Amino acid sequence: MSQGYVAIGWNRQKRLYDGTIAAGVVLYLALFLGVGAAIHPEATIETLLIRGFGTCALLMLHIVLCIGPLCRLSPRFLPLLYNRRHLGVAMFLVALVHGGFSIIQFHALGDVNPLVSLLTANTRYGSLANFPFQPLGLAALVILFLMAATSHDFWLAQLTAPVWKRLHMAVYFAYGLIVAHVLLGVLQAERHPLLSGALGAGMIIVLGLHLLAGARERAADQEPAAGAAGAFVDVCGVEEIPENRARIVTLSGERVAIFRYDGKVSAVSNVCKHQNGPLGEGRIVDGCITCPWHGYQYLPDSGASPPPFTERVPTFNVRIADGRVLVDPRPNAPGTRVPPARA
Amino acid sequence: MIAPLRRAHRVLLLLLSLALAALFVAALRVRPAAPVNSQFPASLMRREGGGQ
Repeated sequence: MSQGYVAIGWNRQKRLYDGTIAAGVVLYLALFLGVGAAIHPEATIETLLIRGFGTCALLMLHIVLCIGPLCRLSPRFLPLLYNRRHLGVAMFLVALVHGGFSIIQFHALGDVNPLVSLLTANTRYGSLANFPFQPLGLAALVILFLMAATSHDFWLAQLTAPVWKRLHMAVYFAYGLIVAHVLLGVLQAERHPLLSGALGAGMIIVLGLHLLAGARERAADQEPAAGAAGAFVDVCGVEEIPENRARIVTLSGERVAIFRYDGKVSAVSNVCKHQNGPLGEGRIVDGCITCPWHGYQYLPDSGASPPPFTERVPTFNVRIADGRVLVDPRPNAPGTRVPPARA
Repeated sequence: MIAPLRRAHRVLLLLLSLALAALFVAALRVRPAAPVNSQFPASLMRREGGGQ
């Protein structure tokens, strides 16, 4: 949580996660270089390295982008989300090697500054077939750098969650730039259907998963019928909420997590203060609502993190009548204690 | 605050999907018949003493 900052809070799971990433990158590059050299003996080692690191970064970006919607579709994928930032930073480093090698190979041996050469060597912006695809890759790399450089809770706190989240949503813009970089670059020269097919399949998986998850959430956001203005809304039966877990409902356009625990029912905003994680998909651990994404904790009756932590989420007034849970759709100020309703 | 953002993200995602699908089709259609790209051969040419 937020009591202090260290570069990386190492634990066994993070070491395992990062070890798997490093092993995967090394294995991929070894396979790419070996198979590439066998199939294309005319290719230089520089070309193979550029393409090996480029395709590796592209593959890693697809994996990074799939983790979010997969977790929204099934909680089984949550362990992948826990350390997604490390995968993102590793992907940036691999992409940086690709970009660095490419600039050295294609732009560093002339009498013009390599970056100037990259931006001015081809200015045929009006031609799709000859479009200057390299600046697209550079623009994507700049975005990925900003994201990698701010992938730490320190920057999350400094920038505030809304700004940080918006900055990191730029990954989708970077993804578009990278797809265009590949389509208008290497795929203009390499015509094997396997290559364009692989990129197309990757796009379908990434975008399809996002659209599917979005459609699911849109359906889940349908609000229960509201009564008179200011009235409590009947959201569900007490027995419909599993013990130490929550039911998520949408009230006044925002999601509310209604937790049942120790014979009590409390309602808080579904949005974790850390990274907007879905609190209602977490559970009560040691008496605290625990976010499924990164383990941030809140007391269910007040929405406040236990001392010494300072995060607070809005709470909602709750009543129980005839075995039904009734919730006032108007949120209380973050951290406001509300007596739990007795189940 | 979060719900309007979520809706905006869904719309942007849909637009991104459509734009990338259109680009995918257009980029593959304009590919030259022969595998020629003036921005790429440098590495291959250098091995044969050409290129830069």
